Amino acid sequence: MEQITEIFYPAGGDHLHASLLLLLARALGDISKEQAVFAEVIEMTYFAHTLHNSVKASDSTADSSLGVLLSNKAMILGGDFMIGNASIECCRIGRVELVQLLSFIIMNISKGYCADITQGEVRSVVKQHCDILYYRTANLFANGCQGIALLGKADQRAAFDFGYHFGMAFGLCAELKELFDGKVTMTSFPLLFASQKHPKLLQGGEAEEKVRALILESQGLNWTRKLVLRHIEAALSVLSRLPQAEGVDGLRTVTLRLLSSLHIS
Amino acid sequence: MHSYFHFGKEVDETMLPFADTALSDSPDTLESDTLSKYHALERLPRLDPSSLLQPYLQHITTQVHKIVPST
Repeated sequence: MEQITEIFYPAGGDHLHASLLLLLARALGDISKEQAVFAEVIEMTYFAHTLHNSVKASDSTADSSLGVLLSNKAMILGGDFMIGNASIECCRIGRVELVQLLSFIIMNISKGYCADITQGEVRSVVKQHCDILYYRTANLFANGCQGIALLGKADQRAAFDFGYHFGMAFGLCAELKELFDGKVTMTSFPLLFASQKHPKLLQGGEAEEKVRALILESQGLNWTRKLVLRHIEAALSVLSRLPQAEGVDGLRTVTLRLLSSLHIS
Repeated sequence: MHSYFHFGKEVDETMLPFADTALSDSPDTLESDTLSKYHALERLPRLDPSSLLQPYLQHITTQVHKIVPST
């Protein structure tokens, strides 16, 4: 457990989930103790989810840097341990709605990883992939932001929308990063957009290098970049609905940092 | 099951217009549109929030370190 903690909580780490939630709390007024604890709960839940997501297909394979350092047993039990701690902290806030919200978040993450994409026309596959991206990534930001607004007696819909659009942009940037790193995932937006021109891409079986070349040739990269920019614009537009406070500037800055993932010069 | 939280169920309506619009983007103007959107956003002012966040994030690190040895 100590080793896991050292890996995930180095001094000065960015703690993106907690940072975003704390800035939102500040954008709604002063940060209350309950909001700070809830931001911590969401960070711990993300930590648990990252551990579970790094479980290796077998003991001899490691898909992530974490998988090299830790055994599957450590990642599964460590993730469960952190979810337990997050739940205890959440209960300490004393609001049953937040406990329900946390359960909802955890349920959504599981849904996102259990879902399989059913092959069909491009629009249908894109829709399914949108759902998966929401459940796996945007869900934690969106519902986390909603919890902060609930505690701050503020507009929960606006908070959810900001977290949702930020989370979708963040998830899309992660897919772009994989592409820039030379990795091609069968269900990613760059590939799905490219499949409009090359429908065979959806069937799989092509060599990774060829798939990457087809994505770049058919503008799958630019389509994805534009979708990221739309979500960033939407997130920024929600900020104008929040009370003007120090946190709004911080939220805008953290959102604009996503632009660097687009690799546009 | 009664749920206080139902926004997740509305995601389809919120989300699909984005993906739909993206699918109908013209490939001819895609690159220039993307660049102009990007540069417009890139020009917006930024303010580093780290000094505001630092005490809270330090607290999270301390909390997690406090939890772990208690096992």
